[in-house]
Amino acid sequence: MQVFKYYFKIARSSLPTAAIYLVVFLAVTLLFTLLTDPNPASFSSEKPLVSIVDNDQGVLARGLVEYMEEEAEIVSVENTEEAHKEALFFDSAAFIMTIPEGFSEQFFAGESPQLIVQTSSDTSARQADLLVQNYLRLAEVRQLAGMNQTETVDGIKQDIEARVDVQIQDDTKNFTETQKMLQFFNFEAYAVIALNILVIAAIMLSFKGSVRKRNQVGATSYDSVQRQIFAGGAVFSVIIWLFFLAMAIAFSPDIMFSGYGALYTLSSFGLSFVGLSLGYMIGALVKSNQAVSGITNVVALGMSFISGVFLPQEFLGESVLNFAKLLPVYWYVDANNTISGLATFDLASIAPIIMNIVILLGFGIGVFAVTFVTRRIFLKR
Amino acid sequence: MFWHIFTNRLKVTLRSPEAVFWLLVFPFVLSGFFYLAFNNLDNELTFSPIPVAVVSSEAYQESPALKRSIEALSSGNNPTLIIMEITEQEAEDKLEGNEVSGIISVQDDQPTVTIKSNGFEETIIATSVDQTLQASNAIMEALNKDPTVAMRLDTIGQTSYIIDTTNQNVSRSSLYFYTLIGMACIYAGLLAITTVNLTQANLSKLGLRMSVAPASRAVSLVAGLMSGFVIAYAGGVALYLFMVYILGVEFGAAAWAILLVIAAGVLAGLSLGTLVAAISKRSENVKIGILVALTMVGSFLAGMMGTQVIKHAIDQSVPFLAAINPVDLVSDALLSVYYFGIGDRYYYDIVCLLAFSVVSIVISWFFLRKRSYASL
Repeated sequence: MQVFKYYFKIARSSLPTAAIYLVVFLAVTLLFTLLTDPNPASFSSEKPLVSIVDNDQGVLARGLVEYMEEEAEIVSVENTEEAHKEALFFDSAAFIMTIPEGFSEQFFAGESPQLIVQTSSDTSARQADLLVQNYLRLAEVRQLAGMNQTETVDGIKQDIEARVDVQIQDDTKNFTETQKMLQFFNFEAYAVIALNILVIAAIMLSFKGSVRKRNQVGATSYDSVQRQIFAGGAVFSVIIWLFFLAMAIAFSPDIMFSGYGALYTLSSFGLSFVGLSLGYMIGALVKSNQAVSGITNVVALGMSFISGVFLPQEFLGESVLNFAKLLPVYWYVDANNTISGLATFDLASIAPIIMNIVILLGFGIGVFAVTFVTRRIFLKR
Repeated sequence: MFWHIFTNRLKVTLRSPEAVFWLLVFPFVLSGFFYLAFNNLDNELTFSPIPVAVVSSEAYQESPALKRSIEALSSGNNPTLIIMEITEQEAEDKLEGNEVSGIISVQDDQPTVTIKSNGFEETIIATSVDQTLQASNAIMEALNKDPTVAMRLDTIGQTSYIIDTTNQNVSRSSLYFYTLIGMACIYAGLLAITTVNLTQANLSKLGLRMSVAPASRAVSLVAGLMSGFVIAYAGGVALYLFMVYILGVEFGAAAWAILLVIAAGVLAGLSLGTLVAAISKRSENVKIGILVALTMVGSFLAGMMGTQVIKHAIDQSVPFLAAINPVDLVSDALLSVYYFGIGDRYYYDIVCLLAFSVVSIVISWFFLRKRSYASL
């Protein structure tokens, strides 16, 4: 127990750094959850983001704008080349259309005037493109029959009432809420792993050098010392885990006090355990604080990137995902993705999630065991 | 004396495993991870035709308008749909297995679209069928008004009224690599923290000895920072070359502009490190912690962690926050070189980086100059 108690005395000197990290990571997680769209543009809401510059103001042009207002989400983008490019790059618009002066007149004169568009080339841009083409085709038909602009625009208003019957098989309720919490818990993978390594490894560094030598000549056995150091780390790991849980509850009590929340709690516990063992391993391996921050960045950021923490797993290549399966974060993110898609909480649907959590715990135990054994071997030399 | 300190700091830094790790291992390893993660991203963000099952019933075969319109959408150079004409059961299995995004079928003479859940791909399928229904409606009315239209219907949809002026083939994943260069530049601050600690008598034993040596504090500080600059700049340029030639990241043609950004970025990083080291008397570890945390938040806000939305929102509504975030300034300047073209935006970023450096150094100097101690 002496080592365990001493652990917290030593930890005190690392507390300011730990507190800085904790605050920063909590803040960053909060920001990420609040500000990023849970659904990346290509498979989310059904309306593309469209910006229109109407230099024509003709009847047909206004009809087209009205139609797009109905079918798309109109966003305003400053009418400069750079602002257009910026909006497309950062997905704040998918389709920017300029209607040139005289478009309506020329269209009805049977000429082929051109709408100038810039697109983000993604799926929503294609949807916007289809909509514009559809409108102009309807206008073509009516223009062919000799209708004037007003008759055409009024006629199209009736045409577009015709809609196909769409049957949706499963419309998950509470979709945005669960998606938000999925964002939160997935991002937590990065924050919790980084925090655990930074805090636990930093404290363990204090047990090196002369402290280690004194420990070695002390009456407490090596194994016992190591176990107590690990237990001390576990306390911090649990504290970090609880902080994030508290934030999750503050964020969405409805989800957190439901079956979803219970499963998220379990999966994040598995994650914390992995973080603890990684922290222990890195604390055992490295000799300086600079090295700790370096390795944290590589391990936490690297694993997060290729395991689908920041970008959904669907966006990663097959081979990358196969590689990521060797890393614990993949299983954590996979568990969370499954949780958010749950419709019922029967055993069959929960089983794969529990399996993933067991894998996480297995990773943790494995990393701890390997560290423990290799350290002993080195010690004996 | 300057050269003496400069060369010796250079040697000491290059022999320290931490510095080598930060400059020669860390950014390269992380960019390797980025490469793995973002390799596929540009493809994912670009539209690819949507797989759709069409129930090949008799009713469907007898709906020529629908058939023609769906076939038109699935042919050509740049099709919208990929159709599979299969039986109802097969279609349902494929939808269940996520092999298709939706099913088009004809039930009771009415076309129907079946999807699993809402999304853009699903909306496109619905819109495709909507088009047919709406066109039929328009054609009926047109024929009522002028029956001769029937002979000219072939011309419908033949003219293109849309001209796409998008600059094609923009690699949107490149921004992530730019933020990484930004991050690597700012980590040069770690070298500055060491340098400051070694020149301050109250911070380290070596600093104590240095301060009784016959070299002015300013000279030893500048020499230390200069050696840090040389090493970090070499690291930054190596990272840039690694990304271009090994990973194939697109940077645009203007190499001079990129080398200038990296220089300004490293300078800003060193200044930030100096500032952090100067204003706090806490241990070196705490200072490293502060710098690492600042860099991480800076990278986050610059869009590194899938957070481009946040970067864009900051650019639009809190430009001041972007102007004091060196990671963002570096990556934004690199983005300008690649995407926007070297212009106002690029020079604004460079000027902000330089201003950031000057302000940090000036503030630091107030903390670092002329200190004397009664006892240490």
